[in-house]
Amino acid sequence: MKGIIKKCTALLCSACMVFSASAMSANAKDDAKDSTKDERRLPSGITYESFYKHIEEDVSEYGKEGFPDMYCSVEAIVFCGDEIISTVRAGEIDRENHIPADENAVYEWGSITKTMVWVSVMQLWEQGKLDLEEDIRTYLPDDFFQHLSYDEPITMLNIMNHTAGWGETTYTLETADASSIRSLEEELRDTEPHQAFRPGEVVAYSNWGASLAGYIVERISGMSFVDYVHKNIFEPLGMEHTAIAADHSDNEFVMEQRKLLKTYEFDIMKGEYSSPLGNALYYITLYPCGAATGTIDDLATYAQAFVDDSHPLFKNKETQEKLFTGTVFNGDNIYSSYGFFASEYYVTAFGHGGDTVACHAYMEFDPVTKYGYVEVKNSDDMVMLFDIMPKRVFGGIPKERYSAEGAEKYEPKGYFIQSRSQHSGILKSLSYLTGISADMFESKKLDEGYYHLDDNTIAYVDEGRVVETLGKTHYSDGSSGVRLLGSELIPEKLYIPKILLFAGFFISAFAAVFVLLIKLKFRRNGMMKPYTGRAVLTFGEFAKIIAVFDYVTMLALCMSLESAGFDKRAGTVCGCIQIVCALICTVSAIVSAYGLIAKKPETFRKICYIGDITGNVITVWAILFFEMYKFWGC
Amino acid sequence: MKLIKSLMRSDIISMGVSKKKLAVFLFIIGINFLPGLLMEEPILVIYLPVVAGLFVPVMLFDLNNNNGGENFFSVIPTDRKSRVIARFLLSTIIMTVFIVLCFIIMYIKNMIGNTDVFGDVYKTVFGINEGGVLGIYNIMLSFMSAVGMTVMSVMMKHYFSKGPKAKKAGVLRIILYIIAAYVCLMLVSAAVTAFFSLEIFSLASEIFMAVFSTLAGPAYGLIVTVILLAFGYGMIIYNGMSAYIDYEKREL
Repeated sequence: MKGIIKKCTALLCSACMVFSASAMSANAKDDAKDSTKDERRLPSGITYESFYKHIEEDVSEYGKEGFPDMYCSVEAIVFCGDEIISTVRAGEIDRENHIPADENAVYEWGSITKTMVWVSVMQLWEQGKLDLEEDIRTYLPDDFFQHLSYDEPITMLNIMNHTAGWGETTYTLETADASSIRSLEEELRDTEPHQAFRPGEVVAYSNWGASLAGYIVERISGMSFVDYVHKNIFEPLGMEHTAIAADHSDNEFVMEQRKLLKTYEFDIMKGEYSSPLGNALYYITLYPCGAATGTIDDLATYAQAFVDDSHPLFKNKETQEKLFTGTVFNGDNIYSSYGFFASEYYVTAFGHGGDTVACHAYMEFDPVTKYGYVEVKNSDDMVMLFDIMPKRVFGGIPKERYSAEGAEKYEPKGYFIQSRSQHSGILKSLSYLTGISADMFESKKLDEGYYHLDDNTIAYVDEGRVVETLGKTHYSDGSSGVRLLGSELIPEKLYIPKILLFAGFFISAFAAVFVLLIKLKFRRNGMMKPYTGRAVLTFGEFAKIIAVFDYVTMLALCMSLESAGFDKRAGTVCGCIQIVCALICTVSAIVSAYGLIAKKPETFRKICYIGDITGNVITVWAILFFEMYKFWGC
Repeated sequence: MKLIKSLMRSDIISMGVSKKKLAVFLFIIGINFLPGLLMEEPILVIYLPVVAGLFVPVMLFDLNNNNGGENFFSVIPTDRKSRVIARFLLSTIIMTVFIVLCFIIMYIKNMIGNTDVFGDVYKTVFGINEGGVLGIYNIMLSFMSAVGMTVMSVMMKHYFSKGPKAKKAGVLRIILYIIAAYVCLMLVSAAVTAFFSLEIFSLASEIFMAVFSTLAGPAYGLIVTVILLAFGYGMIIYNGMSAYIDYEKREL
C-alpha cells in the first residue's frame, strides 16, 4: 500500500514539475522574434535568446508522452512598449471538439475588469468631474446605503484601495440566466454587504465596491458603464474583440466566441483535466467588477496602453504617471496604486489578476522599463504552465535589496480571520471556517520563515534570501496583523470558543438523533413514561436536526459551482428554516426549564431536561451568533 | 453512585484475573504500536482505538465466565440498571484514557519525527501545510476513536442483550475480528474511492469534499474532531440505554 502511494505521489509530483516547466501541445505556436535581437535583456536579466529557448523547451514538452492530458489552453504575450516579444498559444479551448486556442479565442478577464473602472475614474478626475477625496455619497442617490456601520465618509480613493470597509457579499454575483440580469443600480442595492471596518483602516478586496465605483462613473458621465468603457477605452485603443456587458451583448463576436470555450479543471483522482462544467457560462451581474471578456491580443493592447508614452487613455501624461505613484504602502514598498496591485521583482510591476468560474487571466507591466506580460487560460487551477513566466520576465527580488540577517523572527500567536470574508449575514460562519492559525508563519528550517524587516514590513525568507515582502498592519486595539494580496489577516479573539460553539451546533443535532432513537426504543418496549412537554421536546429534537441539515445545504450550495453559487432565493428559504428552528428550540428549552423547576422530576428525567436545555441553548446561540437566520444579507 | 463505584471496582480487580485475554490484548497493541514508534509514523496509532474497542467488552464479559456467570449478580445487592451503568461507565473510562494516550502519542510523534508518506501525499498533492496535515491526523484518529467506541458499545449491548447466548470471544475469534476490521477498512476506502470516481457521483463528491474540507480546516480540524468524538460518546450512551432496556427484559 505504501509502495503504491509513493509511486502515485512520485507520478503526481513529476507531472506537476513537468507541467510547471512545460506542457504545451504540438499545436502550440511561438512567434519568437528574430534572433538578431537576442542580445537584449529582459528586466529579469536573461537574454532574449535564453527566453526564446525556454519557450521552445516548453513547446517541446507539451503533450509529453505519459502526460498527454495534463493541460488546458493557455495564451500569453510578452511585450516591451508597442513591440510584441513573444506570443504563445497552446492547447485547445474545447478538447472534445478540437477547437484550438488561437487569435479568435476569447477568455474571461475576471477582475482585470476592475482596472477599467479605475481608468474611468481617473479619466473623470482628470476632467475635474470627480474628486477622489470626497465622500462618494455626493455622487449617489440619497439613502443609497442601508448597511453602513460608520459615519466616516467613504472616498473614491478608499474604494480604489479596497479600504472602504466592506466585507464580501453574502450572495453570488453570478447568474446562469442572462434574462435575470437587472440594472447595475438594482443589483448594487440588492447585494450591499455589511461594512465591517472603519473606512481607510483595513484592506478588504471588494467586488461590490468596484462595481459601485462603476455605477458612480455612470452617474457622473450620464451614460451606462458599458457605453462609457466602449467610448473611452475600447475605441481609443482599437479593442474590437472585447465585451464588458454582463451577457457580452455589447460585442457579437465575443458573444459567439465565448460559447465555444469550455473550462477545465484538474481531477486529482483521474490525473487529468476534465470539463465537468462545460462552457460554465455564468454572467456577472455586478459586471464592472469582472465581466470583461476578450482575446489575448486585446488584453495585450490594453496593457500596452499603460506603458505608452503617448498616454492614449488619458489627456495628460501626469495622470498616467500618477496612476503608479502608490496609494497604499507596506513600509516603503508600494502595495497598491489607484487600484493596481504592485509586485516586487528586479523592478516594481503593476497589474491585476482575474478569476472567474471558467478562466484565469493575468496582466502585469512595468511603466519604467515598459515590459509587460499578459496571460489567459480556461482553468482556474494554479498548477499551470506559465506560473513562472512573470519571474522570467521581471526577475526576482535582488539579494542586495533586502537582508534579513540579524532580523527578529515574526512569531504571531493565535488565530486570524481574513478581512475579505463575510462578516455579517447568513454566511458569517465562513469567515471563521476560513480562519488561519499562527503556525502558517512557522518554519522548521533555520534559513526559512517570516522575519521583521521593520515595524511595517515582514519578509518571507527562503534559503536565506528574501523572496517576498508583506505588510504588517496595526489596529486601533493594539493588535497587529498581516497584509496579503487583497486581504488582511486580522487577529481574532476567542477563536477556539467560537469554533467550539460551531461544533456544539452539530453535536446538538447528533445528540438529538440519539435521543429520538432512544425514545423510540423506550416506546417500542412499553417503557416510555409520560413527562411534561414530551411533544414539544420531540419537536425540539427535530428542529435541531433540521437546522444542521439546512446549514450543510447552505454550505453545499455555496461550494457548488453548478448552481453559480448561493443565491437569494435559496438564502431566503434557508434563513426562514433557521428562524423556525430557532423558535422551536427556544420554546423547547423553556418547556424543559419549566419541567425541571416546576415538576421536580426524578434524577433521570432531570438529566434529560438539563441535556435538552443545553442542546437547545447551544443551537439557538449558534444560529444567532453566526447569523444563520439573516437571509436578508446583513 | 456508591453501588456503581463498587461494581466498577470489582470489575477492575477481576480484569486482572483474566490474564490470558489481557496478554493477547497487549500483544496486539504492541504489534501496532512498536513499529509505529520505531518508524516515526504518526498515523499508525489510528487503529489502536478500534483494537481497544474490540477487547474491552471481551475482557469485561469474560469475567462472567470466570466468576460464576450471571449467578454472581443474583447474590450481591445490585440491580440491573446499576450493572449496565457500571459496565458502560468503566469501559468508557478505559476507552477515553486509551484515546487520550493515542492522541498524545500521535502529537509527540508528529513533533519529533518527519511526517509519514500520508503527510507527504497531503502536502504534495493537496498543497496542505504542516498544520493542515496535523488536522487530517486529528480527524482520522478521532474517526477511528468513534469507530472504536461504537464497536465497544455495540458489543457491550450484545453481551447484555444475549447473555449466555452471546458467543464466547476466544483469542482466535478476536484476532479474526481485528483482521476483518482491517480488511473492511481497506474495502471501504477502495469503495469510497471508486464511488467518488464515478462520473455520476462526481458532483456529490466535489460538494462533499468542499464542505468537509471547509469544516475540517480551522484549528487543526477541531470542529470535525470534536463532532466525531461526540458521536462516539453518543453511540455509547445510546447503546447503553438500549442495553439497559434489553437487559431489563431478559430472563436470567
